[in-house]
Amino acid sequence: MKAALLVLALWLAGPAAAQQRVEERQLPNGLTIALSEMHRLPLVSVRVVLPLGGSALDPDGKSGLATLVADLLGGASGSMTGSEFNDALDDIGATMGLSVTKEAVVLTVFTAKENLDRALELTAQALRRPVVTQARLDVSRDMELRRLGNDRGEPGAQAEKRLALRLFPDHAYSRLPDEAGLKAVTLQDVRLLLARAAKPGSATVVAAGDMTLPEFESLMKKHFGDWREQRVEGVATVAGVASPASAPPVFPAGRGVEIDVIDMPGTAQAAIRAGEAAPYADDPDYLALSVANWVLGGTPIVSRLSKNLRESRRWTYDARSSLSSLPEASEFMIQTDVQTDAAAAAVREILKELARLRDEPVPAEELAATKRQLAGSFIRSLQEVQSVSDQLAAVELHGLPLDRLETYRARLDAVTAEQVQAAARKYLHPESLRLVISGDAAKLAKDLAAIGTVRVFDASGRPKPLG
Amino acid sequence: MLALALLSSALALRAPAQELPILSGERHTLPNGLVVVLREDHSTPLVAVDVRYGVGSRDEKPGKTGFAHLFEHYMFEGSAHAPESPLASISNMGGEVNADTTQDRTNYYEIVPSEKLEEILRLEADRMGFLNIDRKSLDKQRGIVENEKRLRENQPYAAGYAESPALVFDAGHPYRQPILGSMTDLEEAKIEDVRRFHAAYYTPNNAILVVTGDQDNAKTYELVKKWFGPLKRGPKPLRTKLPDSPPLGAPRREEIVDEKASRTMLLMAFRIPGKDKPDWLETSIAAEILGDGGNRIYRTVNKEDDLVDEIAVWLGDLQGQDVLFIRAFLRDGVSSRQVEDRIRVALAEFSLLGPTDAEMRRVKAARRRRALDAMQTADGLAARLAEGQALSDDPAAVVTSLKAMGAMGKDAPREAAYRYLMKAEPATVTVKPKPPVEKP
Repeated sequence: MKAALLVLALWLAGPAAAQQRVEERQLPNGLTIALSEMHRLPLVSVRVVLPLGGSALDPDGKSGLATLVADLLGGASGSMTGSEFNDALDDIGATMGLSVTKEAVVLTVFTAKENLDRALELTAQALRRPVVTQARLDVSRDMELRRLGNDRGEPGAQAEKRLALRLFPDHAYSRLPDEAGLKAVTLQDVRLLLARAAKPGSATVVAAGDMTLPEFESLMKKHFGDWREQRVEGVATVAGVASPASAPPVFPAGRGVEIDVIDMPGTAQAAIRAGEAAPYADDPDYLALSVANWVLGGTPIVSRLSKNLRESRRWTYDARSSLSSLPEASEFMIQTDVQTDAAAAAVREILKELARLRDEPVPAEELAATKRQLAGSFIRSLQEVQSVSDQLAAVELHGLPLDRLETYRARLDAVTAEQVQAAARKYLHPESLRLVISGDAAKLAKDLAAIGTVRVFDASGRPKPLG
Repeated sequence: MLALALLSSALALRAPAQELPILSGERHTLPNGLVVVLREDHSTPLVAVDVRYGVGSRDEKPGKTGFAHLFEHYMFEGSAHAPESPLASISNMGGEVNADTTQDRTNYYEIVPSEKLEEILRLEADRMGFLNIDRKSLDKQRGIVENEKRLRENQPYAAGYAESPALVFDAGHPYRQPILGSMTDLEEAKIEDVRRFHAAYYTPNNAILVVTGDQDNAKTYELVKKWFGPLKRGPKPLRTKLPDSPPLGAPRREEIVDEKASRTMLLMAFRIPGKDKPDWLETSIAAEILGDGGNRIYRTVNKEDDLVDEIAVWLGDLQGQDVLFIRAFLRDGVSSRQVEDRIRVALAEFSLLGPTDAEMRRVKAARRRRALDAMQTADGLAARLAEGQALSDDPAAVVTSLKAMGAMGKDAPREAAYRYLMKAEPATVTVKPKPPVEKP
């Protein structure tokens, strides 16, 4: 039996340091479980990570498969209808949710400790004995088809979808459920994905909360101990790993700034989103880049973008940047919604701020303050069982070293201004930045054209001539 | 300055065994009227401070809408002995700081490494007593708030959500106006308004200070006396009295076309008692069973045909006079009147037959889990304690109300629903997507 122990050191300047242990085990059937004990309140958060399904892993022409699989889990299962299953969860005051990321389907359970046994029994039932029928698939498919256009009026959401297409062109990371894909998914596709992903050798169950590892292990054995791979009729063996395989593209320098405008006539603000494809979370440059990201836009009002666009210019309520991990890359994104008449000027300031990160080392005091902000944010996140289990899920999902969190403080402390600058120079490219802006194209296009190549699209993504 | 006699009384916050962890803590009142609630918990090396002022958008005068919220921004512009924005100093020490304004109150909170507690108390006391007030800061924050307003209004259905309170309350009711106010009023805000507002409402006798987390109650109390003790009591705060708003006797309707909307949204609003009034708890339980918990309305509306994609039921969380909202997103081609009628049927069924034993049990289980959830973070707990103190003179109200609910029979939520949802009429806003333009 594999056993690993990782110590999460919580640090603060001063004596009040705390430690939080994370332990991992493997059940005899191959199911990996990991626990971080938190005994302050009688609560437990459990996440079942199914790493072989995800929007980026959907087969060609079947975008939406993972979403449909998620719809079919967490409802009708065993001998229960969907309503009966929800009532059973409500009886113990527990919640269950399914989410689909680019790289996984994740089932999340949150419960008071005294109901954990029953909550895990229902979890096992949902995963191991979902009712997978043509009728249920059709209902889910109809629901997802109706959902497709629901956010078409949201300026930020539209810009973010299009930005993914620009950052990862022709790559699985830009893939989202679409009408043709949803319609093409068959019951056999669903069964195959479930058989491949929902089995002890693929899934990982992580938890944080008020229990000990022996308690967790014994409950997991009770409900998952006899879990075996499902056979799918008509298929001899179910293929193992699905992976987007190809690394994301590297953009050639010197192409110039490219701006896509999604036309939303009459809007008072322009939703600006800009981004870069960045390195995988285990890359040696990653931490330095995440410090650069935090200097630029990690803390509201204090970071450079916010100080500039909000505090000095008053063009926006909020300006920030983020760095999110994907299995083989990361997505770096800048986001701000500014008053329409300031959009072009705001883009110029964004480009300037990116150039400043490349051209100048971050001053010592700013770097130290940024590290304190990052550390503080991490410590605050360890108060809640849900966010601790979320971080455990990310460690397991990305196959990161188990000591990743334990060593975080030391690694963060070691980041130098030179490394931050080097990472900025390597990954941030203001001269060829890709931007998507949702807003009133008639008012935006002319000023933006002085900055880069502008293309205008309507809300459905069709190219739109201006005037 | 600290030689003044202090009125203090420690109290053990009550908690039923087996229900929730005991919220032990202590409460004091300084001679200047500041109410102080302290709770010790050393599980994480963090401490949270919450300062809750009894002022919100309901206290604004006509022509000065949006002021309470604008002022909340203004409070981050520095004070006499701490000229740097507390946002910068607190973020840079590794803490988090923010504030929020509702119709009824304004909250400021920080969560910081424990050893920074005194610095936070100093900053909060300084801006309570000695806020820097100048034109430049006002202009700056006005520009930012105007963009906050644009951001919200730029979202789908924003006009519908804004219209609903205006429709359910009568002209002149202080809960009608949006918290962010009107652009015209924001433009008109004067520096004298800022001064007057600070003097009237940002006083120790109109505030509750809560400190939770990794701190020592006795030592913290000494620090509180050191920094807040010298502040002068202000005039008795003048809260706007709310006009009596009984349930509507006739329906009110409004239809809006929204270019950003993708589906028809039906938003019904019923007048219910305020959060600090009898019947509110019972009505909130009815709301939970009708909405998320039991999903009663969804099940009834979609019984024969699928008419709606989703139903949500929530309360406005308003103190003096609350509103229960029911929102439905309609399937294409479904008539909003038909959905409205079915919703009324669901409300009538509940009002006549009441909840089942299972539904009552489920609401209680969900509320216990949610109460525990809210206690996880030091800042979340601090806000709960402040709310309990403000609304029911009981910091542990979250525990007390769970106990009250435990003893409640099924008839109480049924009767509340009968009174406020069945025998009353709603104000209904329908938001429709813009019809597609016909190609010539």
